[in-house]
Amino acid sequence: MSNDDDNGIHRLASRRDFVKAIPIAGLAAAGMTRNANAQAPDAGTIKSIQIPPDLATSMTAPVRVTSFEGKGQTGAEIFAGMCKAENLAAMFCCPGNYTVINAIASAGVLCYGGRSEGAMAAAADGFSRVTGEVVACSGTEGPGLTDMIQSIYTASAAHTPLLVLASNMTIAQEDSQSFIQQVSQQELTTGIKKYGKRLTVPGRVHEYGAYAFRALKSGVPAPVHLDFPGEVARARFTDPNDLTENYDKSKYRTESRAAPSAPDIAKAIDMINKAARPLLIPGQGIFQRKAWEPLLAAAEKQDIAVCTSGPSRGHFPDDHRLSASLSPKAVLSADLVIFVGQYQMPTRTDYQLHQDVVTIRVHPSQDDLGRNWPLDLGVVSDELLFMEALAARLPRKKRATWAAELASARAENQKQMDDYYALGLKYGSSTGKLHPAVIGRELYNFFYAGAIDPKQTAHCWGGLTNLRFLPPYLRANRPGQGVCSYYQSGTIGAEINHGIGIAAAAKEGYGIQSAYKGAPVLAVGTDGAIAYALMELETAAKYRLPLICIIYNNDSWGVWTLAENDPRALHMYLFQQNLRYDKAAEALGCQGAYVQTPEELRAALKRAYDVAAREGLPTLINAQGIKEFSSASLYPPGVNIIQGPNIAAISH
Amino acid sequence: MTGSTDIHAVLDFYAKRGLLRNVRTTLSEGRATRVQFTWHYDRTFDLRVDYEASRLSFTDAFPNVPAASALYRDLTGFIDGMMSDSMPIHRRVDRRKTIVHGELIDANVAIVADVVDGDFDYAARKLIQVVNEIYFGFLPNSAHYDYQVQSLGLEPNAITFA
Repeated sequence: MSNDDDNGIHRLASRRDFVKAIPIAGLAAAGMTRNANAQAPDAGTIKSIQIPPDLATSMTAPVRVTSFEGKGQTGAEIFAGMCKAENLAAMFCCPGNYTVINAIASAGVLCYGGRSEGAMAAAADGFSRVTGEVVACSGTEGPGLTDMIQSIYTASAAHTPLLVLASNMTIAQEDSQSFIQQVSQQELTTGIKKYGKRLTVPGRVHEYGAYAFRALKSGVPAPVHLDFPGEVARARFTDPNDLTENYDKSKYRTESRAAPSAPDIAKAIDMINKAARPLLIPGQGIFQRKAWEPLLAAAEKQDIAVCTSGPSRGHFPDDHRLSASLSPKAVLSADLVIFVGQYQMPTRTDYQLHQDVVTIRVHPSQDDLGRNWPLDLGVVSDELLFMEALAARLPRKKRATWAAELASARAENQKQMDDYYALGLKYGSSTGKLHPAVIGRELYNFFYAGAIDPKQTAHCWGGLTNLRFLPPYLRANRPGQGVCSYYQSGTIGAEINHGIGIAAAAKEGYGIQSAYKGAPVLAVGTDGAIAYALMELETAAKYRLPLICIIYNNDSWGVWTLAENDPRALHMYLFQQNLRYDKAAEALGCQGAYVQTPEELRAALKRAYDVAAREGLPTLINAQGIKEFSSASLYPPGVNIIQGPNIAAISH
Repeated sequence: MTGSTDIHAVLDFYAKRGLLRNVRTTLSEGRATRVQFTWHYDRTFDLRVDYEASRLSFTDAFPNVPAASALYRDLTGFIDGMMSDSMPIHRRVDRRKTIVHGELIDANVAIVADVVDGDFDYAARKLIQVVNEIYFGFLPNSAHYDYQVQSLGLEPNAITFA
């Protein structure tokens, strides 16, 4: 307990060996609540859950270096070498596509193997959303790829640079109805990828690897899909001259980016100078291009309000005085809006802005400028280069009135949240269950307003029933701290699987997560979501990923209110009541907790945090509510949608 | 635009800014004009301008609103707030120029702007702002999600609550 502070919060003082196998008996000795069946052998006949010793051995095995000498390299190994050279951050997969995934793992890329391809692809998406890096997912041909489709779609909506890999039987078997798993892959990912290719000529494996990484690392990112027939993956090469376009990344792609023109920058500065209430909306492009420092500098130079958009949050801190993410009413006052790196452009009725607002949009390519939203100035520029130019050339100017309006709107918003919290306490007191506003406040108090560094805890969230109550409490005060899992897709279940990927990034302290290496990660989801993700908690436990998963359990699809007036339809919206997802998590090797009061939730969070920080063990906290909390007539104000730009926005 | 009485210029301005779609004049008779356009939730908004009465109104803007309902109380309260000192001055409706209010006729609430000083342009812009803020500021923060689905055409399948 030497690393505990006065509040009993465990400090992340030392590097831990998360790979080390931890017998369940040891966890029980640490005082955690565990399912008795899961932790205790039954008279020696039922063994406790154990991490296999082979796991640590496998993960620390030496990296294999291949060459054209001797037996040469397979097509899979050529591609794996490219992945390593391109700093592929990680791969999440299920076995299948064996030749390729084994080669990538052997090349030294961080790899995770899980229970379903779809969930693992979402975990890869989550890893990328908090690091900004290219991450891969992989599965077998027919069933593996089709299981990944939902997650590829979700990543596509978020413009995640996700490398989708899948095997594809053999070219020789094509159209033969031979054996199992044959499917024509590329058609299946039409519309949800930036580039895709079925590799058919073994000697072009490097060339198409270059196509893939060029697409992943240039311009506006999105998923890229390569499928590997056996003839390509297993082909052997002993002579580099047998490969087409076999040169390194400095030759097959460029780091050169479009800089803003001098007239464009001058006009943008003139428009900003003339505005009384300018608002910057830094989107996914600012995160992808790691442009948060010049963004902060530019905003502070002229008191420009900032409200981030996109699937990743924190590239402008929520706790900054110029942040408008919690000042929705002030956003409506902006007279100039500057979209930078807004990859999913809203229409004029999608975004809560004033009807007279003047618009600048900055985008890395010309072809999307003017889409959906009429421009007063369109600027073709890389996001980082634009922000650097703006920060350097913008003259200093104070906008005290605008800053005061932001502060006033933030206070008004806080008052509304306080009112919701008071209502939630009242409703909780009368029902004995947890209202989402109370869950949100407890999470905020624990992770963002207590003993824990408010910049530490990375989080992701989903769940639209609680949209107005819970997400506004999940703060992002540094880049890669927050993820909106439903961004632009509304994919239920993504939030838990994203959490697994985020916890992997946190555990490794990968890239921009390095300052909080090993820190527990928070994933907030719903009982609707857990159906898509429960089994993957076993993967989180296997790899000792420090995940704290909150399930808001209201025994139903939250949209049940739409069947309130259709009695014969209502049953389709209902689950069994009081389901014990926590027990299911325990049976998969995680810690579980079932909570119905704020006090129980508080205690469960403390236990979950401690076991995540100390051992990397995940916890599922099953927070029991009731479906009627969604009803505006029974428990006002009930559900509602939240339009952006806003801390709780799920689109644009 | 100040001082002009041609509200078409105002509507054209917002059409060119992507705010209003399918703007079409359905009546132009003497001192009365009626214009329809597509706007929030892809609904058709019907703007009537009566120059004799110095009045602009979105008729049937909010259908199916009982007089004694919380929605009616909340909605009219919000509209009144648009003219109050608590609203930032750059968004406030100057009641010396225009008075905005909700008018209940047969369970339909019309959003009305009465022009005080003859400046129809100001009244038109403020009336559009009021409706904009009802959709952006009032409805998202209200307890009336079901009303939006049942009476305003908000598409529930656009999102699924989990």
